[in-house]
Amino acid sequence: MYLDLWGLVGGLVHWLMVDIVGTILDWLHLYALADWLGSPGVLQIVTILVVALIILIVGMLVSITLIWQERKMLGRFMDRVGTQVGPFGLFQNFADAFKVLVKEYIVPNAADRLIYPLAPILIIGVSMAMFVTIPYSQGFYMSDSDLSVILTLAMFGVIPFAVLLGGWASNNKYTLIGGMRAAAQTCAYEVPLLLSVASVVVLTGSLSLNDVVAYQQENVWMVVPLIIGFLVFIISMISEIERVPFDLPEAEAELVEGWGTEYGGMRFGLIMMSEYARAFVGSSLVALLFLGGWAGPTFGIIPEGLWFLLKMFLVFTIFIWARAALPRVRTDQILHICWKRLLPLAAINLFIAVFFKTMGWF
Amino acid sequence: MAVVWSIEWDVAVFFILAAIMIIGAIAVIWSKEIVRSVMWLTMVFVGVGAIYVLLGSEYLGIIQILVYVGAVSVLMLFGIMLTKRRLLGGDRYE
Repeated sequence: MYLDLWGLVGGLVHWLMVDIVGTILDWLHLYALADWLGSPGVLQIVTILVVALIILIVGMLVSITLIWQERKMLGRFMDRVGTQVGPFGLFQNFADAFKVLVKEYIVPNAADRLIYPLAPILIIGVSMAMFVTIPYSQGFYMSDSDLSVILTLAMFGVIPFAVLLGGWASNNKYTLIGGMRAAAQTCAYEVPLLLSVASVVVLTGSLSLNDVVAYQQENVWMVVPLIIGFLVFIISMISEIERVPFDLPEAEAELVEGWGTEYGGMRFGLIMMSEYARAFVGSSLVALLFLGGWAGPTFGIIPEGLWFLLKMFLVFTIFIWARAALPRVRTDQILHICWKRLLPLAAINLFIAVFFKTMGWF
Repeated sequence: MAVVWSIEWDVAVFFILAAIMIIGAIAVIWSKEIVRSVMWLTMVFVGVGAIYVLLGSEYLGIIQILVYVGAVSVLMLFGIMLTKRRLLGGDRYE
C-alpha cells in the first residue's frame, strides 16, 4: 500500500483551480483569467510547486525527528534523560529553533562581505535539494529520475566547496583549518563511497533509486552479497556527513566549533539543520541501496513508507551508537583509513560484484 | 503586418543561463580576491552543467557538476590556500 503523491496533489490542484476558483471567477465574469488558471501548463507548475513543498516539509520534519532521536539516545547512552520539553521531549528542538531565530545577526569585522552570507545559503540549499531524489515509497517521491543515485552523490560533492568557502570567508584560523579538514576528508571519502555504490549499480543494472529498490524486492537485499560494500558505505557516509568518529572539521577540543565558529544566530541553526538533513539523506541512501528500501511485509494495510522510515531510523541509530562509543580519529590517521583500508576494500567489493554478475548468481 | 515577438521557453532559459555565465566569466577576471574568482568560476561551471541538462544530456550535466564543482574548484581552492599568500587584507603572511 502506498500513497500516490503526484496523482493526489494533481487531483487536488485541479479541483481547487478549476472547480472552485474557476467557478468563482466565472461568476465574476473574469472568463480569461479563469481559462488561464485552468490551462494545463499553469496546473502543472502549481502541482510541481505543491509537491516540492510537501517533500520539503516531510524532509524537514524527518530531520527534526532525527535531531530529537540523537539527543534522546545520546542522553540515554550517557545515563541522563535528554530533551524534556513536551511529550517525550519532542518540542525541545522547536524551542531551540525559536531561540536561534530571534538571535542577533552578527558579521565579523574581517569577514568577506560577499562570501560569508553566501556559504550557509549554498550549504542549506544543496542539503535541501537532496530531498528531491529520495523516494519514500513507490508513489511518494518528488523525482523519478533515471540518474537519481548519481544526482544525490553529485550534490554531496558540492558540500566541501561550500564548507571551504565558508571557513575561508569567516577569516579566522580555526574556521580555515576546519574548512580545510572538511574539504580534504569529504573529497577523499567520496572515492570509496562512489566505488561501493558502483558495485550496487553493477548488480542491479540501474542508476534509478526506484529501480534499485524494485530489483531488491524481487531478488535479494544488496547487503547479503555486498556485505563489504555495505560496511565501507556506512563508514564513508559517516565521514561524509562529518559525524563523530570522523568529526575532525568541528573537533570541539581543538577548533572551537570548526568551520562554523563565526556563524551565529539563524545561520548556525541552518548549518546544524543542514547537517541533519544530510544525515537523513545519507541514512536513507544506506536503506535504499543496501537494505531493500521500502521492501517488507505490508499485509495490505501497512504503508510502504513506514518500512522505509523504520530502516532509515535504524541506520541512524547505528550512527548515534558510533558517536556514543568511539573516540575521534586523529588527523594523520583519517586519510590512512580512507586510502589504505577503505579504498582496497571497496575495490575488492567491486570485483565481488562483477564476479557475481558474470556468474549470474544475483 | 505587425511583428509578433514570441520566444520559446527553452531559448529564454538558455539566454538567462548564458547571461549568468557571461557575468560570472567577467567577474572571474574583475575580482581582486582570488578566492572570489574561484567562486565565480564555479558559477560558470554550474551554468555549463545546466546547459547540458537543457540540451537533453542529463548524465553529462550531472558529471560536470560532480567533477568540476565537486573536485576541480576544491582543488583550486586548496592550491590557493596552501601556497604562501596574504590572508584577506592582512599584512602578515599566513
